[in-house]
Amino acid sequence: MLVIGAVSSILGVLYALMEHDIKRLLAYHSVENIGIILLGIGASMIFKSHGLNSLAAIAIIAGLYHTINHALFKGLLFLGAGSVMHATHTKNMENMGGLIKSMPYTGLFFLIGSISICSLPPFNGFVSEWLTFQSLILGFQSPTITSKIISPLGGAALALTGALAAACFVKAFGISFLGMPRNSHAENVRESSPSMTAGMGILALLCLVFGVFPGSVITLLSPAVFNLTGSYGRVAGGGFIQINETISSLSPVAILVMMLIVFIAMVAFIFIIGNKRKITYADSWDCGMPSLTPRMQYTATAFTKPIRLIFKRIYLPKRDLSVSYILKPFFVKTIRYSADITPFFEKYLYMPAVEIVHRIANRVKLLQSGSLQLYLGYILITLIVLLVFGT
Amino acid sequence: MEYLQFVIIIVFSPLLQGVIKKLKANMQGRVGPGVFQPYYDLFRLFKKDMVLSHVTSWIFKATPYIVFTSTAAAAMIVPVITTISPFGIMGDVIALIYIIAVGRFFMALAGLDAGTAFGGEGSSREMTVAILVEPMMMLSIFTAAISAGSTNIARIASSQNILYSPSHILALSAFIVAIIAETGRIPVDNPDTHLELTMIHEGMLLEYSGKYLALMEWAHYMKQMLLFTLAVDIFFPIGISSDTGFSAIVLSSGIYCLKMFFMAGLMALIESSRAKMRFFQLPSLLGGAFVLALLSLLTYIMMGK
Repeated sequence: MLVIGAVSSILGVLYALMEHDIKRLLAYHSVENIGIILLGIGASMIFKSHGLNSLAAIAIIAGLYHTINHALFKGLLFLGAGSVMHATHTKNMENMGGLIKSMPYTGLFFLIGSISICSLPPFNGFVSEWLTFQSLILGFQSPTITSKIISPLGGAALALTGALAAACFVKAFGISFLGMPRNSHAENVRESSPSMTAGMGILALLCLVFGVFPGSVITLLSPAVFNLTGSYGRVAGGGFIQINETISSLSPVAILVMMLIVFIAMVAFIFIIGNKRKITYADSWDCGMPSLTPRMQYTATAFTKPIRLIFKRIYLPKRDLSVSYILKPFFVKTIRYSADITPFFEKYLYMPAVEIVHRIANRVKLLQSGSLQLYLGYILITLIVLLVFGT
Repeated sequence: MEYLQFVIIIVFSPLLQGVIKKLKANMQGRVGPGVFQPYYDLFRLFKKDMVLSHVTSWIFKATPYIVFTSTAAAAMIVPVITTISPFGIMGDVIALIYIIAVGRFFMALAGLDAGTAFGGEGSSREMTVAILVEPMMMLSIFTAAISAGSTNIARIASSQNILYSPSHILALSAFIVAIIAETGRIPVDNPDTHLELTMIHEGMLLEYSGKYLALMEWAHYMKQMLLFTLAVDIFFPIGISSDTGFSAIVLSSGIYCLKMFFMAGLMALIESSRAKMRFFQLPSLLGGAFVLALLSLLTYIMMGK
């Protein structure tokens, strides 16, 4: 269970990274998040099988908490993607760009969803991922050597997933909402109606609340946890979680408060040290060559290129370069470049299955000739068979 | 006193940067700028007017504040000179790494915000390096956390279970590679370059100026000192005081200065003796470090130390 969770979380996010269709990207992230949930549940099953009920409770809380969080931020992100599609009439993020200026609310809420799904504090994804980390480290307390080795490795897989998810949402948010509009459609968009943004706003607020007051959520979960594992796990209340006295604790409220204090101190410091600054607006740095165009921006494909190359064993990338010349090899007329990846599970798992179904269907086709007499014959045979065996 | 530990990191991190630069210059046979130069630079930047790109959005303006705030908040969690760390209540070492990651996330977004190729390139590479570093860093911290029976940094620092055992040395070497990658030093990134094709961290900061640039640079110095402190807390906790009496604090501060000077010397030595690697050779360096961290964990499980 742990291994399936780790593998599916990494693969899910790897394919999400290569996806430039904003909705399919989110769908691949569901694979990733269900992998993370499975990490929690798998750790819980290991503990339960060794009779470590209180540890099993902690791991199952991690899994259940992440399930709730996933519902919240994924709902928020899909609403955001819907709002973007409604405004730009495209799902391809290479045709968006600069949307945060024309759609400020959608942009803000999509950003909050992205931070939550990347499990960054102080939003909700962080708390459940922290709990999952803790349960995986606690896996060291299980007696068998296999689970002692596998569970920290699950933790490393979770760290890899977290970093990949962050890269993916920097891409998703950065390419579609920041920079310059990549075509004229993206330039003339309007913010969605308040009824759409309000829905996102509520979910965004819930992401924050679930991230800052995890104790209260865990209290709500505890009956289910007790039913599943026979233990309540930990003492937690309000904005504080504690695995136990010695192991570790987390207080998102304290993190938020301290960040605010530091922020105020910093602003005061800046105010004292230098307050007479002018701000001039100019073009972005273009190396002295005037007129940067939106086509010169980094694209989603370019952004993920290093990752595509590093994980090329998994992606099996294909590239196709065709150049036509006016005078070879110096005067190029056109260059066409296309790149694609092969999802290996599609190639080695789904395609063979599809092939088998096709083959069976081809055989079965013979039966379905379209002749009415033959069909009546089938009915007759069926009737006789039923009469013989039915009695 | 124990409440003000994190101020040490905020105030002295530019000095540490200055010391590294000075040591590096000396090793390369140059005189180099004085150790207080980073302070002068920051002060000058704070006083300057700013030029912003009109392509940028509010993300670009909010990012310096968010990066500075999150790094300073992370600094509160780390015990610097005494293991009595009241802000340890905020979270443990995992929380610390994720709080730092908030800054990186926004920095990468800001890199994309100005709509130039350099910013995007910087962001893309920074996130790629983070992907390679994160699992390795976590795994080497896991070894320390498992042996101490806690992920709380102060507790790891007070327990000295695995000091100088094989697993400890392996985990430490992986962690040092992680620090080099995270602070953008040679052989992963070159902190002194503004050459378009090689920069990672500087690429994301290219559009910043004045006050914002000062905040970003300062946050970067803080992150560097924070990671050094984390390394000495986890791997060389010897000498860190466990109470807050005056003499204990003075002694422990002295030892802390020595440790930081040693880390600075190590970084300067690595930077002076290595060439920057090609970007696509990084997976083999960082993958090698991952194997070290993994071996460290396996060694701990098999040998129990």
